[in-house]
Amino acid sequence: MVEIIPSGVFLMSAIAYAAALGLLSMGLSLTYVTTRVANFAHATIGMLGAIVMLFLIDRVYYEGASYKLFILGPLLSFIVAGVFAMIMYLLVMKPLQDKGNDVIGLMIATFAIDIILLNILSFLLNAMTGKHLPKLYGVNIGPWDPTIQCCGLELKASNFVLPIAAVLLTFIFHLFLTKTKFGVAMRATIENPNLAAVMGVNTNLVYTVSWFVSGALAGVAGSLIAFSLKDTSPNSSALIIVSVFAGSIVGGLTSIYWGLVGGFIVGLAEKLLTSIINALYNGYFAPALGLPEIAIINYEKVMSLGLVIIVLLFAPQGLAGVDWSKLKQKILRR
Amino acid sequence: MEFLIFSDTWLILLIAYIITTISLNLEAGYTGIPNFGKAVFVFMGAWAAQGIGIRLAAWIVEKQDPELAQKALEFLKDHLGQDYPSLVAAAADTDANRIVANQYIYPFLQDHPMVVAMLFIAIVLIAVGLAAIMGLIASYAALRLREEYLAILLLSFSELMVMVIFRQTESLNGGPKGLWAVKFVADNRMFAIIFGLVVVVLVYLYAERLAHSPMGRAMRAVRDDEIAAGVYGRDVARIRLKVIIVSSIIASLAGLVYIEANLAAQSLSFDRVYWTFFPWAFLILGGMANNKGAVLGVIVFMVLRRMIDYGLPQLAAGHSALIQMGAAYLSNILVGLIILLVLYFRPQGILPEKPSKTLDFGEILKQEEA
Repeated sequence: MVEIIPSGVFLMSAIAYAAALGLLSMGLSLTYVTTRVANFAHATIGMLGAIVMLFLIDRVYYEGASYKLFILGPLLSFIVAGVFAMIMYLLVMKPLQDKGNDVIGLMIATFAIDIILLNILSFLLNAMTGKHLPKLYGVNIGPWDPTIQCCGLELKASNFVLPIAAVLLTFIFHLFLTKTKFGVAMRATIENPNLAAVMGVNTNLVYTVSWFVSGALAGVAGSLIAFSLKDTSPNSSALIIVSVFAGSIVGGLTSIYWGLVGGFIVGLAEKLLTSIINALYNGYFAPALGLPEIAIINYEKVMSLGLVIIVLLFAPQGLAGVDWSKLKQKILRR
Repeated sequence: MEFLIFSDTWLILLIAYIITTISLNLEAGYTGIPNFGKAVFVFMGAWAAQGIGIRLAAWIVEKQDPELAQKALEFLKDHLGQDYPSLVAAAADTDANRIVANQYIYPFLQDHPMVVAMLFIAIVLIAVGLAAIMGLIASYAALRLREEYLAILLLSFSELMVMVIFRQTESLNGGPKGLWAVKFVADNRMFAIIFGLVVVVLVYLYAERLAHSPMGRAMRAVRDDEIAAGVYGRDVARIRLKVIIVSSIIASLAGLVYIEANLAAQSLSFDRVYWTFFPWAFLILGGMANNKGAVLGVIVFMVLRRMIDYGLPQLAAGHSALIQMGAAYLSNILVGLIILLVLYFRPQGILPEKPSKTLDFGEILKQEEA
């Protein structure tokens, strides 16, 4: 008999991964709706958070991670990655945009930044020596993730903190957008930049802040997902970026909140759905039909592309473009 | 030798990149299709010679020379302790592939020039067919999606195909290790260079001819204003479909040239940095919608990169290990910086787009009168 329903621990790690993807997709959608830049360097900016975590463990918490690591780490990552994204916008993207580069030119530019950042980080990690760790490149920081006893399960602390952080950050960001004057200005700029500028909104400041927030969210996600990655080398971002874009497209690329939902759905599908399909196929279909066993778990990224294709076929504007009230009426009428 | 820094490896890469960039130029430059999934189309050419080609060669060996095939299987049983049902199965297996290819298939092919010729044609046709199918799949999306969505979708598609499906599935192309491709002649590198140069010339002439034909003007019209092109009676969907399929086929030839020169390569070597970002970089540097620009971009960039790759270690030699290691990373960083600088200072590239050459109006009048 094969377990089809995943265990609680696995479920929690899937939710944590989905939450991280949600944060990343939200940040990606944010810079897209404000400045029309589809940022290919987004996942690598997220890896900055993972590297902050690595340094904290090496320099401060080598002997044993305390709860402070899970407060200090995301906070520092928030600032580091946010500041980097802000500088990237002010130093590169904005001048290029002012020069009149189109969407595709800007995409290439983010590609170039991705390569530059990846190589700088790889060099630094290879060149520096750790205070405690023998090397800094390609370290698995999973062992520093303490186990928490909760609900009769032994959960990893990062898996526990990540969804909480995602909910908290979304809530704060929502308050920021709705309750503060600057947040209202930001929403106005997203809706209609020209009109907002006429009404006295400093749109440049809004764009800069949106890049900071985008990078900061990526940093937090990266710092906490780092414990579940095979290692914290910056190259880990190469495949994450595919899932992040998938999440944003499922969400529709035009809405921040739907970006979060899209990332969450893609994350859950990748981890949970593949594991269920894997168990079903290898547990029932393959033995019954005499087919060879396939490690479907290895193909989890196929799920994200599949989701993107399904969404683009049935709702080209993503989940954000679906008229939910109409859909509800349609279903209720039946 | 100082002036011999341009090796044959570099030349092969240059040829493969020129082919890829011309094909990207047809799509992105002339027709405005942002193909961010070039890597997978290039990879199709390599797969035709690797995973499919080596199976085909093994099958031919089995049919033509059953004794040799039997000998090979017995050898494998003795040395690897594995019992393969047929030579085809052995050739596609990562453990036995190297032995079968190097000790049995390559010598057999060298003794049978007719088989080699047929095999070569078959592999080219397979590469073209595979690329056309891939292009058809990509065009399904390209006909329906806006620029950004299409770019992201194609990027994800190529990443998934190369990094996940081909890497994880051993039966397709040897998984992470990759397979040995079919070797046609003893000096396959020279053969690949000649074949590559022929392809470059043909592809360049074709692209130039296409760009200056009515079809080329229609492509530009589709790029500049889809609706207007449609109003003037151009079938926008058909033009896009044609361009994608043709340029996918061209790109697959680049992969074929590359794999024939290197023979063994992992699927992973066809990643998005080297086969998607680099062609885009060449194109932006050289100039979009200008075939001369595309070729010039590749040459300028590759010469620069080679000089950086060669010069930096020379400068770093004698210094600490840290600086020597930094030199390797600096080369990629400089590539990124060059792109940013080109985008900022000369977004139209070295050779900007020119109006297409058409017949002189006076000449048309003369023809009318005659």
